[in-house]
Amino acid sequence: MQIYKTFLKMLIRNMPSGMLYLGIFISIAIVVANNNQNNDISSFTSSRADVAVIDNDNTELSEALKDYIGSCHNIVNISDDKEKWTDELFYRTVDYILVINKGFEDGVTGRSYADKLESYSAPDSNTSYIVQSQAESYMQNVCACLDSGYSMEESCKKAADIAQIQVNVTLSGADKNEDVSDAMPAVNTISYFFTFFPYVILCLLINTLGSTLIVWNKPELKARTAVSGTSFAARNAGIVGAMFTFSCIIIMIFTVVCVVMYKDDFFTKATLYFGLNALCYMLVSLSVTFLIAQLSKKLSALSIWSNIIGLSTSFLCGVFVTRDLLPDKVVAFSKCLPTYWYINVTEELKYYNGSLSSNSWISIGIQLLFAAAIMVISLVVIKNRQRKQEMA
Amino acid sequence: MFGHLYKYRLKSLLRMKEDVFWCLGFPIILCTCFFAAFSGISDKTNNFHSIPVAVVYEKENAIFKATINAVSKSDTQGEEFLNVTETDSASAKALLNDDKVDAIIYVDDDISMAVAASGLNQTAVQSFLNEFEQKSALISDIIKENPDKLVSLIGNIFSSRTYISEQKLTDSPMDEMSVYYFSLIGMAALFGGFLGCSVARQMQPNITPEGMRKSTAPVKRHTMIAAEFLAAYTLQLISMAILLFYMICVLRINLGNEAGYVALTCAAGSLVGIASGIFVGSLPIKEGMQIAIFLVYSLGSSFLSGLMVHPIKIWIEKSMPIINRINPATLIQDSLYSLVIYNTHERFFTNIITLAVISVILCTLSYLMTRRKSYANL
Repeated sequence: MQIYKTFLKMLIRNMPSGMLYLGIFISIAIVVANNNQNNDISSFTSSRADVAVIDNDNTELSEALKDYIGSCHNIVNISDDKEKWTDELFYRTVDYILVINKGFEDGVTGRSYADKLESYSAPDSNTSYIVQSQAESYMQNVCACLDSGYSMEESCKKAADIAQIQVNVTLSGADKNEDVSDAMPAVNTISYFFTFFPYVILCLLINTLGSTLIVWNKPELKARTAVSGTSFAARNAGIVGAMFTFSCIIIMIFTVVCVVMYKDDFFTKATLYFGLNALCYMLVSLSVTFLIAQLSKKLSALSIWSNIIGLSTSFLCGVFVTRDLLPDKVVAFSKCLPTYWYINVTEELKYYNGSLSSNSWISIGIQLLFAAAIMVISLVVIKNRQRKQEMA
Repeated sequence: MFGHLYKYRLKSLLRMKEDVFWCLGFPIILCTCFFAAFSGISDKTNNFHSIPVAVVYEKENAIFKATINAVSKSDTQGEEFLNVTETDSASAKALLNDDKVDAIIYVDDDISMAVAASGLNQTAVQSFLNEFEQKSALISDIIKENPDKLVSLIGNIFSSRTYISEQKLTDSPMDEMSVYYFSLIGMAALFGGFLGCSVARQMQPNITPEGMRKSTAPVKRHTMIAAEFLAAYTLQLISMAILLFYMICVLRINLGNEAGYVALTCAAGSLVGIASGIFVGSLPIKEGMQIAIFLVYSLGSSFLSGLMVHPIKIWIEKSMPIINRINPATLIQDSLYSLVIYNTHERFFTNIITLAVISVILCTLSYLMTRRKSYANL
C-alpha cells in the first residue's frame, strides 16, 4: 500500500506537465469542431469560393456581373494593392480576383472585349477554374442577348433570369451517406475529439507516467526497496495498481471534458465505441510509455521521446491530416503503426449506422496485439538488464 | 585565449545532447512529418484533375452527348474536364458507392445529377450542367422571339472567344503548404536560443556552478562573452545548414532559387534566436523558469508565423499588423516567402534589417543585465 500511495502521489505531482498537452488537445478539438460544425451533409451544397471583384467601371453591366458572381460565391473586400492580392491568393483567403476595367460596358456595347476583364488566381487552382467558367458563361449569355437585339438593360436582366435555371442535384446513391444522415448529428462533432486523442494521450502518459517510472527504475531506489520488508511481488502490485488508478483518473478527466464539450451529443452508442477504441489505444500508450521508461535513463529525454513518437505517428497515421490527403506510400507504411488501426475505427465511426463492422473489431484487436507485443519487448528489456546486472 | 575559449565552448555545447536535439533533431523530425503529411495535399486539394462521372442516358439527347464528348476530350488546363463512363443506373450507383465516380448524370427530359457528398468536383459538374441547361433555355427563348438571329446566336454561344484575360501576379507555384516549411525554418532559427540560454545561464555565478568557476577565471569578461556567443552561433549556423541541406537536397522542398538570400535569412534568424536565448538566460531566475519562458516565446512566435495554422499571418495582418512587423518567426517566414513570391527584394531586406535591429536590442539588454555584477559570496 505504501508503494501504491507513493507512486500515485508522484504521478499526480507530475500531472501539470501532462495538463499542457490536455490544454493543447482541447484547443485543437474546439477549433476544428467549430470550423466544421456548419457542414450540412444532409443535402447537397455547392462550394462557394471567396471572390474579390475590383469594379473600376461602375456601370449597369459591371454591377450585374458582380451581382451574378455574388449569387454563386462569397464576395470579399480587398484593397487595390497587387502585393496584398498576392498574399491573399497565396494564403487562399481569396480564391479569385476579378478586375473590371474602366470602359468595360462601352467595350462590350461596341463589341470590343480585349483587356476589359482581368482575373488573378493561384496557378492551376480548381476553385478559380469554376469561377472563371461561370463568369465567362455569364458574359457569353449577355453578349448573345446583345447580338440578338436586346438593350443592355434587357440583356443583363435576361442573363440574370437564365442564371436562375439550375439542375436538380440529389444527395443519394452512396449507402454510407444514408447512414451518415441518420447518425451524424452526434458523431460528426464528437469524432474530432477522438481523432486527436492518440497524440495527447501518448504525450501525456510519457511525460507523467514515464517520468515517475524512470525515478522508480533507478538502481539505488530499486535496491533500497529490495532490502526493505516489501516483497518484489508486492512492489510490482503496488506500481501496477497505481498505474491502473492513474489511468482511471485520466479516463475520468477525458470523459468530463468530452461531456462538457459535447453534452448534447455524448450519450450515444457511437460514443461508447469511440470510448472503447480510445481505451484500447490507451493500453498501447501505456505499454509504449513502459518501454520508453525502461530504455531512458534521463528524465529530460522523455520530452524528446514524446515529441518524436507523438508527432511522427500523428502525422503519418492521419491524426493531424485526414488520411485521404496523405500520399499512398505514407498510408501503406502507417499500417505498421498502432495509430493507423485506431484511426481506422474512428474513420468508420464517423459514418456510424448502429453497428460496428468486423473490420473495426479487427482494428481494435490489432491495437491490443500491439499493446501486448510492446509490453513483451519491455519485459525482455528488463530481463536482459537484470541478467547483465547479475553477471556484473 | 579567445580561440581556446571558443574551441572548448563549442566542444562542450556539442556534448549538450538535449540542446542539440532541439536545435537540429526536432526541426528535422518535424520537417519530415510535414513532408510525409503535406506532400500530397496541394495536388489533391488545389490542382485541377479530371472529374470522374457516370452518365445514364434514360432518353437519347444528341446535343448533350456531343457536348459531354467535347469536354471529356478537350484539353482544359492539361487534363480533360470530365472522365465519362456511360452506364446504366444500377452500375452508376455502384460506381458512386465505391467512390469510383464523383457524380451520376441522369439524362432524361431534364438533366439531373446525383452525388454522394458535397464538394468542389461535384460543384464543378453541377456548374457545367447548369451552363448547358441555361444555354439551351437561352437559345430556345431567343429563337422564339427572333428566329432570324439563330445563326449569330449559335456563333456567339459556341465561339471560342474569351472575355476574361488571366493574369499572373508571380511565377511561383503558390503552394500554400510551403508556409509550414518557412515557419519551421523560423522555429529552428529561434530554437538556437536553447544554446544561447545555456551559454548565458552558465555564465551567471549565482545560478550555475559553471558560472562560479568562470567568474574566478583570469579572463576578460567581454572576451569570454564573445567566445561563448560565437561558439553558440557557430553551432546554430551548422544546424541550420544541415536543416537546409536536408530540406533542399533530400526532401526537394522549393525554397526559391536564391540560395544566398536564404542563407542570409537563416543567419539573421539564428542571430535573433541566439540573442533571445542569451536574453532569457541572463534573467535572474531559475533554470526551469528560463526554459519555460523561452519555450512559450519561441513556440508562440512560431505559432503566430503560421507553423500550426498557415493563414494566421494574414489574419494578424488585417487586425494587428504591428505583430507581423516585430515577431521574429514571422519576419523569417516572410523573408523566405517574399523570396519565393516576389521579384523584388524590398520586403526581404526590410525583414532582414528588422531582425538585425531586434538582435542588437536583445544583446544590448542582455549586456546591461549582466555587466558589472559582483557577489559578496557564492
